[in-house]
Amino acid sequence: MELKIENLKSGYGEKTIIKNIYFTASAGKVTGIAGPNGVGKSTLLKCIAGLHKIQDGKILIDEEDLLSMDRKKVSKIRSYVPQKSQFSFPMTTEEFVTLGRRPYVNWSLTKKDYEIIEETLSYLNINHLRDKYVDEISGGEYQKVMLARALVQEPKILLLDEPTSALDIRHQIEVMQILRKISREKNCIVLLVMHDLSLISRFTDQAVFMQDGKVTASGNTSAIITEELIENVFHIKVKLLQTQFGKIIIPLEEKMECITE
Amino acid sequence: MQQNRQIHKKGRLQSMAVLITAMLFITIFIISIHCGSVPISVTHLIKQYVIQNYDSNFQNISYIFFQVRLPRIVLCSLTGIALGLSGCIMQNLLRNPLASPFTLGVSNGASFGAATAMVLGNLFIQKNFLFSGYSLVALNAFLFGCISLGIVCLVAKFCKNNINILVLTGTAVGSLFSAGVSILKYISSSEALKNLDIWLMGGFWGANWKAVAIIFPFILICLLFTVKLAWDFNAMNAGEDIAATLGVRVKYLKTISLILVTLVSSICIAFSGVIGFIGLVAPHIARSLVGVDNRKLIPESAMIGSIILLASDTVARTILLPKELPVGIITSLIGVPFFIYILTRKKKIWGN
Repeated sequence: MELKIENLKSGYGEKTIIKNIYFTASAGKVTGIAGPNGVGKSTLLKCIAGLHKIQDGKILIDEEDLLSMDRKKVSKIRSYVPQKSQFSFPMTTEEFVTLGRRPYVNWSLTKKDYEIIEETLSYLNINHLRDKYVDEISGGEYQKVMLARALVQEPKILLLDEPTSALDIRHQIEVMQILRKISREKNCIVLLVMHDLSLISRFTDQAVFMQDGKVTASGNTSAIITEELIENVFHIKVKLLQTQFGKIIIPLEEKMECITE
Repeated sequence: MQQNRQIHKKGRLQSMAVLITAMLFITIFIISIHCGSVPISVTHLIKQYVIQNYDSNFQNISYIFFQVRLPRIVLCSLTGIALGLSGCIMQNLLRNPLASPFTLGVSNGASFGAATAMVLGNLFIQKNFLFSGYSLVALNAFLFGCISLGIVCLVAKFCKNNINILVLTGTAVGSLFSAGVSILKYISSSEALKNLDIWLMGGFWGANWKAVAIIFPFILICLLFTVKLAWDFNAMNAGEDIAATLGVRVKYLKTISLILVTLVSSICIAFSGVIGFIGLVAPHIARSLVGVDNRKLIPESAMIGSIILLASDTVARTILLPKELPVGIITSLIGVPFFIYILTRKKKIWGN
């Protein structure tokens, strides 16, 4: 399975924020999207999630246009985890995760639905949170619960907006490991927007770098992350250290004034 | 497997709560039939029908029962259902525990409509419109309820259906119409003023079968529509983005349901006057009993609304015999302490 973005163009109203977007994300792999703030990463992700109108271009899943597909059918192959979601009324973890079955149920949950929910809770090891309210659990647990809701949807494409931004270092690693595991074991296209370049280098298979609303580089993560690319995209000089856990990025201070430009 | 059983058990408990509420509703319905300024024994009445042996007082009693009391109780139950249901949907869609059927300003619009009919009618045609022109008052109230909703929708459309703007516009339009009511009060005669005040407090004194026949189909449509979309409302609880990626047509759902429930509550208050509070309280009480699952919450909220209103109306009719109190006073007197008890007892009813 392959997600192919062709000549995508989008923005707010008349204004265009992203254009000429081309890249491919494949099943069984984690793909990271990186770039400076405001470059349109989240907009791009929202376009793929169907939450934002596109002005031009195509989003193809196995050569089939995702945007012209039936709403219900799409919700069975694509799920989205927003950066932060607001609950109107407090729900327990279980109630929240159950929502993910909405594309499949008519009225009552079937035995199969319950099985999938149980399986997912065990898969992410969050059985004990079942009766806790989602707004009362810790950040790391919260992210796993959000993930569980998306997984219960049985997606082929899993979209995540900055899944690690609110987490401590241990939970960052844990969530990224889970995401990699999901992509391998469920043969899923995992596409995420992230800022942490070290995490991208360590955990993603493919990466897409954006600059000025366009894709600057995309492809195999280990191949495309270079000092030149990062300097080019973020306007900051960096030093890369190759370790067994991917590349570590050390920003150098000299060119800092560029940020205020 | 044991956990599976636990889920089912919790679900069963909640279903049981819905069932018990339904039984409570029927009980209160039967009790209120019996209560009133003229005590009526329903069994006695039915017996006379069956054996075709009527006693001297039968004509009067059966008239009171079928033309006065029964339509009033039915209208009261329907209004309770409409307000409970609308409140539930409003709180869900506006994502606000303070939302009620009147958040978009219909109650003020309707009040203005009723006030115009009463005060201006009294001024120019020299007629007491509260009782003789009851249908005119209702029609006018409904009309202005719709106008206020129309204004709110129009403004909201310009602002791309932003929910905060919707609520704020509702409040603003509400203030506009309530200023209108104040003007009318200021210029009105004392008799019209009294009528208007009574209307604003809400009551079912003018209930008849015609009103029931008008309200019933709207409520039925509203109930079926919202219950059928219960899963969509559930998804909305997790935020619009998540709902949309779960396949919910968010814009369509919001527009249609907001208009539908506001319309229904507007029709109801056109006949009964402004009955606040129920639309706010019923969903909260229901939520504390059956949780956030709208498949149970919507019917539960409708029934709770109906129970509170019916109980209040019965008390209002009987407590100061032969006079009666406006039902709005009793709703608050009974409802507020109970509501506060519910809020403090269970921490997790509304969002933080």
